[in-house]
Amino acid sequence: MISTSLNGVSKSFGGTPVLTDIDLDLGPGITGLLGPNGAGKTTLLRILATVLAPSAGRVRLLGQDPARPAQRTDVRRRLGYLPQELGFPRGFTPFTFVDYVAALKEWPDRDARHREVRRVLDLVELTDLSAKRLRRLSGGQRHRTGLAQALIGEPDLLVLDEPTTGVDPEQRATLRRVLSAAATDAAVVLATHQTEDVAALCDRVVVLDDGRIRWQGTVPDFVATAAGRVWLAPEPTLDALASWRTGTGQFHHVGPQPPAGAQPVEPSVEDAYLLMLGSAARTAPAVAS
Amino acid sequence: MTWHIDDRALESYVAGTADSASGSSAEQHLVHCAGCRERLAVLVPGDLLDRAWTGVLEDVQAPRPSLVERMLCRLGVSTDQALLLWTAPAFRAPWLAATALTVAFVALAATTSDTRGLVLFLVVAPLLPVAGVALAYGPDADEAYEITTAAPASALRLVLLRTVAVLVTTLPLIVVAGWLVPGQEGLAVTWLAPSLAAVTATLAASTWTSVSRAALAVCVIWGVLVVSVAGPGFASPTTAIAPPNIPWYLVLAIVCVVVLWRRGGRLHQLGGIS
Amino acid sequence: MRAWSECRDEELVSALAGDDLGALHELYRRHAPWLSVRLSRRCSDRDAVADALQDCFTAAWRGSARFRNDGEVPAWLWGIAVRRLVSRLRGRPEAVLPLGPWDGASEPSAEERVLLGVEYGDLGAALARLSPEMRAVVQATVLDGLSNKETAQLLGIPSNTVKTRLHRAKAHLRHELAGGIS
Repeated sequence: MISTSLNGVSKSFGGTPVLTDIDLDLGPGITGLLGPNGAGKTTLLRILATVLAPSAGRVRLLGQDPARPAQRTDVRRRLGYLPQELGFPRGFTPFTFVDYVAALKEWPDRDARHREVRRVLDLVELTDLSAKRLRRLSGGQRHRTGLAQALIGEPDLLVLDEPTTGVDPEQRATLRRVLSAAATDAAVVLATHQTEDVAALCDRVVVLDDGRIRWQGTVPDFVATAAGRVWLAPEPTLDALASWRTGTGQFHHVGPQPPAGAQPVEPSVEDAYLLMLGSAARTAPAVAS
Repeated sequence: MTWHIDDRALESYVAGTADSASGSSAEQHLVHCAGCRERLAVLVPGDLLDRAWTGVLEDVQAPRPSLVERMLCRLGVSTDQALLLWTAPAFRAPWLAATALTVAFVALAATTSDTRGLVLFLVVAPLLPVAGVALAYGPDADEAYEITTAAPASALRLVLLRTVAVLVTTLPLIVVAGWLVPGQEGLAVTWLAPSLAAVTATLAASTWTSVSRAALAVCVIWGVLVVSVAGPGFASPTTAIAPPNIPWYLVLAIVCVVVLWRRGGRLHQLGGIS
Repeated sequence: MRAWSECRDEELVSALAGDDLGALHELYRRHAPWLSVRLSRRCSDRDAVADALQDCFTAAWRGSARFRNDGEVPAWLWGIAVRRLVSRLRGRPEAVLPLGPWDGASEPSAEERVLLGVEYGDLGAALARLSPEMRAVVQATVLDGLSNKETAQLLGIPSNTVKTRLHRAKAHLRHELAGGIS
């Protein structure tokens, strides 16, 4: 069912290139789009969500060409999108907002629409708060509302920009469950700059840096790229790309060339990410515990 | 509480076979005893309770369709279209209040002062619908703009629906205000032509740039036009809407409608400004 | 955070002001069953009972601020429910169930006799000797807490008739209770 793909897609804004030569195939399952801030993740997702047209290249979404209005509308009927900037008009509750989006998604029958709204709110566990004003809810609860509206109508293509913002660990488990269920038939793409999200949620990963794809493939293969290049030592060394103190007092090192006799460690997604981006990694590594 | 309703009495009470005395006794007891209430709950069949709960959910979660929505549905608009229309900022109280205030102020200016007030009225009145259009759609107005754009509902139809909503709310107010201006027969109506041109120009221009910028540009152009043809010292303030000039506005309106129709597809995607 | 099932009724009602549906659901779970039975004993129309029940909890949601903590939640809910039933049944006195014979066709069990004795004592016996019309008025005003006007609406009789019957019922009861005490 690989009918969603980008071939040679580029995008510039007023002469500044934001995406260059993107080749991407998306199938069922959860794909993580990983990259530092400013890498172009949001722009790429906007193209997938049909709200932005590319400057060059070919886009196929669910077998349709979004450049043609009728096909674009058809894609939108089967699409769910959670943008990064999520705003709500004043006075809405989770129920009334999701109801509004369902109306935009062409659910004319009031009863059927309300049943669907309740279904998606139940999926994200917002039923108890469904009648409370959004302005009075926490950031994480607002984000779950955003996720709920994306799930209306069981979309075949689910595009999520930073869905884990403001989500605490126990809600992350709920998110994993919801997305896994959605991903059995649908292609799910989520953008994040946090490697824990990729490790916890994704089957495949695409690494984006400075508008270009650095790597794409399955998560286990990604982690394997760091094999043999992660080690522990009692003291920090200068050869490593990055090192930090672990909870045991040892220092965790990531680098292209471990010294002889170093104690190797099983790599994680974060290690692979740091190695991939090399010295260009803009985010400082968190202290692993 | 030293005693409770026994099982048999409770069952017959729930079944409706208890006589009045024991039934009433049971009722008085139940008001005070949570334990017996729990025991009773197990005995009551769920269908009526579930039905009533669904009704409660509906009442509590979804506000009843407003008067406006119901009127629209009676006019043949489908319920989801009515919902989208009603949530248009044009119908929201702040917009209405602001419109009313503006019109009141301007009408007052037109009646109390002389040519200056008239010029002010002429500048502001046709632009109020334009401001309404700017508020109805676009990234600056719609907080959920990206989600709205990604939805299959036709952006053009949504914009037009909301423009209609704006016109329906603002036009009557301004016509009344214009009618109140002394000495200017026809003022109430002749400004409609430039207003139509301004609104269609804003919509057409919004296929190139954001709605707010389009609206701002139109406002500035109109203001400059009115003031510059009003003559030195505002000797002839209503030149802008003198009868020979009216047809030009209508021509412009038609051109803009054609442009909007041809380029309506642009409204379906975010502009180059991200 | 405690589960709603562990909270007292008063806490649930305060939570309604914060627009928490979980609290409303728990309140419904606890009280809708007995309210539905009590309403059904006043009205033969199941749809009217369901509507009154729905209206009751919707009204509780909207008017939770008006609940003063000095009363009891169940009594408060019953007050709302029965008034909603009255307004649903306006103009339909035929749906109102007549209060059956006080003593019952069948012999009350020993437990029921104890119940009667404890709950009403002499009052129970005295009530039994009232006519059905007077008992209906007493049930509506005294037991259900309705006003004269609401009782009139429920039973489909003029307000003055309610007053008269209540007055007479009270006179009867006073006479009975002041007189022989068994």
